[in-house]
Order: sequence, then C-alpha cells, then structure tokens
Amino acid sequence: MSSVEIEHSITLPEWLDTFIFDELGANYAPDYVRYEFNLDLTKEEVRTYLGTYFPRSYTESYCIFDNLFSNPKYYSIMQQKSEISILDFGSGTGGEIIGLLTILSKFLPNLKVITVLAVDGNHDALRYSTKIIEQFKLHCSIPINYTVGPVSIGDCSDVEILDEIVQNSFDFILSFKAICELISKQRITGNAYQYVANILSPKLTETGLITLLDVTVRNNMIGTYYPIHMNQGLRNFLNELELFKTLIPLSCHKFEDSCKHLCFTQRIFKVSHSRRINDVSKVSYRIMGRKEFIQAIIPDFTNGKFIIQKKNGINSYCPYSVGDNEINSFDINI
Amino acid sequence: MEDEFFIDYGKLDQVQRHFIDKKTNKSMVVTGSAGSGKSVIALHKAKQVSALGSYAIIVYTKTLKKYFSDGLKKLGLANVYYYNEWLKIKPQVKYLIVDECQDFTAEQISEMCNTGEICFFFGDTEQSIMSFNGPLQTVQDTANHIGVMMEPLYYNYRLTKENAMLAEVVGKVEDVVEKCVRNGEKPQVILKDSVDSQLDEIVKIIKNKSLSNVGILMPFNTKKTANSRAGNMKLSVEYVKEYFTQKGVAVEFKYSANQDTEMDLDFHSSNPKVMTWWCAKGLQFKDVFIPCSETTYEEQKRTAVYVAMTRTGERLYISYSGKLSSFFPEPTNGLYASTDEIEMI
Repeated sequence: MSSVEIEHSITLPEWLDTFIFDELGANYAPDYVRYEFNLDLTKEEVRTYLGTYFPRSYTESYCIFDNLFSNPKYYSIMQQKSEISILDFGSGTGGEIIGLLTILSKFLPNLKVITVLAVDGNHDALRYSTKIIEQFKLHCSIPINYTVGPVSIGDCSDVEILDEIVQNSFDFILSFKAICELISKQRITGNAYQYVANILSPKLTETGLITLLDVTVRNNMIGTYYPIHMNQGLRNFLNELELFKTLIPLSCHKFEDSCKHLCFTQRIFKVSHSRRINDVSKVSYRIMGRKEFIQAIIPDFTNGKFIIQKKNGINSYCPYSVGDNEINSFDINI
Repeated sequence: MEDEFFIDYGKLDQVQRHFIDKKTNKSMVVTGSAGSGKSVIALHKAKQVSALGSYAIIVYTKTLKKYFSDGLKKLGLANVYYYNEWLKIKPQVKYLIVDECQDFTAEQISEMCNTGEICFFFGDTEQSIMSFNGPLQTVQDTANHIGVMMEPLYYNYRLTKENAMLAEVVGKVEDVVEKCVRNGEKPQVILKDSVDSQLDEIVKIIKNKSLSNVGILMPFNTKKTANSRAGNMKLSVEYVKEYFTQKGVAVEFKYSANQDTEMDLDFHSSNPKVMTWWCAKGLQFKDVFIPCSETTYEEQKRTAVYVAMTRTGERLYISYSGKLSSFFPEPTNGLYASTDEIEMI
C-alpha cells in the first residue's frame, strides 16, 4: 500500500453551503451530467449545476491553490504583492473563483485589492456567481473588484476578439471544465487546450500561473479521453512556445522536453456538504507559468515514481519514473 | 445622443460592448430587455460598419426613425429607412442593421437577409407587439435562421429596479430586475374619479415638477376606435390631445385619423408627447404616464402595456378611476410608492 496519498477531501464552508443551498436554491443531483453543455443551461438547470458542480470546483481550486501557497518559495514571492488579478475563462457559477479567493484571503490577508474578470456565456450562471461573490465579501477583508464578461464563444474568431479586448495581465488564469464544452460543441478547430493556452498564457504576469482543468471522461468526437487530449495539446503548446513551462504535474515538469507518452493524468477530490458526504470529483489539470518563474519556485526533487493517477486504490506512474521513491505529481511540497 | 437615450455608450458593459463592436465579419443577433441599450449599440454598430462598406439601417416605424434622427445625424449616418420605406427600395448592401427585429415576420426577415451580405439584428421577443401582418419571428428563431448564437445583453441601463419590479409583474416577464443597475422612485398609482380628473392630475404633476421629457401613453389612436373597441372614446390619443389643448397645454401627438390630425412628433420639444403604446415602442422618456388603467383589456394587450411601462427612465405613473385593471397589482401593493413616499418626493 502506498504511503503517498493523491486524493484530497474537504468540507464546504458552512456560510457557503447555507448560501448556495438555502438562499440560492441550489439542487444537488448526483446523476446530473451536463458539464459539456453549460452554455445552454436554463435557470433551473443552473441551480442544479450550482448544487452539484459548484462545490466540486470550489474544492478543486481550494486544494490546488492551498498546496501551491504552502510552498515557501511561491509564498514568499506572492507575499510581496499588494494586488492580485484573476481571469476565469468559462467561469460559470464561480466555484473555482471562490476557492481561489478563499486561499488568497487565507495566505495574503493584507492584499489591497483582488481584481477578477469572469468570462462566461451563460448569463444566469454569471448572475449567481455575482451573488456568491457579494456574499463572499462579507467573509473577506480584502476589497474585491468583480467584473463579468458575458460573452459566448461561437468559434475561434470569438476567442481572438476576447484576446484583443482583454489587454491586462493576470496573476492567475483559470479555466475549469470549460474547454471540454468548446470541444464537444466543436467551437474550436484543432486541439482546444493548445489553442486556449496559446491565447491566454501571454496574458500572465511574470509571476502568473495558468491552470487548465477538465473532466476525465472520454469524448467520442476526439476519440480519446479529455486528459490525454489535454496533455497532447499542452505538450504541443509548450514545445512551440518555449517561454512557458509546466509546474504541475511534477512529472510533466521534469520530462516534458523529451516526453513521447500521452498519459491519463487524474486527481480525485472529495467534498462534503449538507447534501452529500464525500462527493467525488475526478479531474485532470495542468499548471503552467513563465519558464524563469517556474524554475524559481520548483522544489528540488530527485528521480522517483511519479504518481499520476489512482484507480481502485492502485497508483499509476509516469512512464519515465525511475526508482522506488513515490512522488505525488500533484504536490509541489514534496 | 447619449442624453436622449439616457444610455451613455461609453458606460455600457465594457467587455460585452467591445465584443459586439469587434464582430464585423459575420452576422450577429443581439437581444436584450427594454433599456439594455440595444438601439444605442445598433447605431454605433452602424457607424462602425459604415466605414467598411455599403450599409442600410432599418427601424420599424417612421416615429422611431424620427426619434433616432439626432443620433443618426451626430453619427453621420444617412442610409436609415423605416420598414415601409425600405420595402420600396430594398438596396443591396454589405451590412444590414435591423432594430426591433422581433416585430417582423419570418418572411420579412428572410427578405431583409437577402439584401445584406452581413446582417446585424437587434431585438427582444418579450416586446413583440406588432403582429398586424401575421405571426412574428422570435429573436431566437432569427438567430437560428441565420445560423448564429444569440448575444444577450447582460445589463439594463434605462429601467430602475423599482419600475422593473412592477413591469415584471404586469408583463409576466422574468429576470428584468436582476439586470437593472439603477435604483429610483417607486411607481406611483393615482386614483381619480374620472378620466378627465386623471388628465388634470397629469397636467398638475407635469407643471409642479416642471417635467420636460414626458410620454403619455394611450391604448388607442382615435376616439372612434376607442369607442368601438372599448366603449370609451377617452382612451385615445385624439381625446387626450383635444382635452389638453382645451386646457391650454401644448402637447406633441401622433395618431392617424386623417392627414389633418396626424402630427409628426418633435422630439426636440419639451412638450409632453401623447401617443399609443405601440407607437412608443423603442422610445424613451424620463417620465411616463399610463392613464385609464382601470380599463380591462384582453390578455394579448398585456405585452403592449409592458412595453409602454418600460419606456420610462425615471418615473412611472399609473392612473385609474374606480378599480385598477387586473393587469396591475392591487393599489396597496408595496411595489407602488406609498402616500408618505409620494409626499417626500
């Protein structure tokens, strides 16, 4: 049995639980599978999305950034900042934004302002996200400037328009479970992860990080699983544009220059809330940044067996692993 | 132009406005509730594409064309037609911009598409009230017809939340309040013992408050029509115009009993404008009066009342005699300003 655990569990904060389920009327529907068609959700469906997917996105974001800020090198750099800016592409009801904001208020309570631009085509989802942000402000001493970008992506030209409009640089760029929808609806030609990374990564500040996260199911249109498609697209992106580098998974960071494999990377998060104990979320994600910055914060680690997923209690490892020492590819604090 | 529209183009939601601005190489369908800035965006879009190729702008009525004339002049736009005018010419253009597209039938939309290489439609199905020529095409169907996604406008800049709350109930429309960004006074409900007393009260309010941007919106054009359809000739633009004239109150009016009585509205004048709910479509006033709200209308007129109510940028006055129409909540409802609130105002 491995001593390294890549699963992570948390409980939704009580105020957030009460607000989304009791105030906003969110519904938890465990059988509800609609992540690929969020743009078309009706208001009622958005409430179901809010009850089912929002807590999961919150958890994923909370855990990912909690791990990141627990890294002393990263923390010491971020501590010098007085302002933080966030872009969320396909923000939906804003679970990942609230997760990140919670971490920022925990680790950087003296920030002067946090600026958020939330881009999504579903207006009902954006309205819910705005209400949740207003509620979050009551639990956070940092001023938050929250702007919505209510635009739908019909094709590549729309992304390019958005690229032109959004001229700022961001400390965090997020896209959680949004690119799968662009793929399902065939909105983007070519590999959508590569395309989005190409467009959004240049908008990172010198110390900015982009996190692309998606579901791990198979899509018949692309003939493979989303994580494999993501890893393929992002490897192309990184090979073509040498300015950027992977931070997480650590195995990709270490071997991406010469990697020939298309791995199925997956991490499991569990969230407990008033409607469900240990609701499971399976996702694949990649965190990238500018090469110099990534080199500055990456911990020293030797070779080992890099865990890239856990299935039925059994770990899978990066094919380039060497030795017996198990390393959690998703943990920057090894 | 911004003063006239209450909506400063530069203050519209930045991300979405820029997004719409940048789309010039493919057709687009923009929708938004009353007061979301559709027409302002449509005109700026027209200005933008006018530099890129031939263009035509179609608005539904002659009144709307006149209403827009200042804005159009300021933007240097010339090729503007009201529908019947356009129909006679049907110029082939690269860019076609159609405002209030929800008031056209599928055939009319199709016909328009045939004359424009790239078409921009602006409309709101909730305000679809001109079904004289047959069933109208929803904005969503127009988007489907030309094979694009509908771009809904996110905010409402004209309506105050207070007026929107009442409009939602009357129009049986959802989510208008959520889109509003402004607060204002609650609508006032005015009870008087007759239609004439209501009109006297309207004159009094206009004078006491020195109101200079007023719409008085009626259900019928002429006394004859009002009499034959509702049994009360006073529910007409014609009657209100005559009553005000007798009282020495100058008004702008528009109804088409005959050429002698029809007048083109002068939107530069500060005189109150009297017209039908339908004629007010697409227009905006700071203060809107809806007299004769005791009258019970058939359900189909609900949307027209909603359209009339949503013409206001500031204050809304609902006057009635006897019992308020069932379209409206009871006069004691908290959606209306209370007597105390009115005194404070």
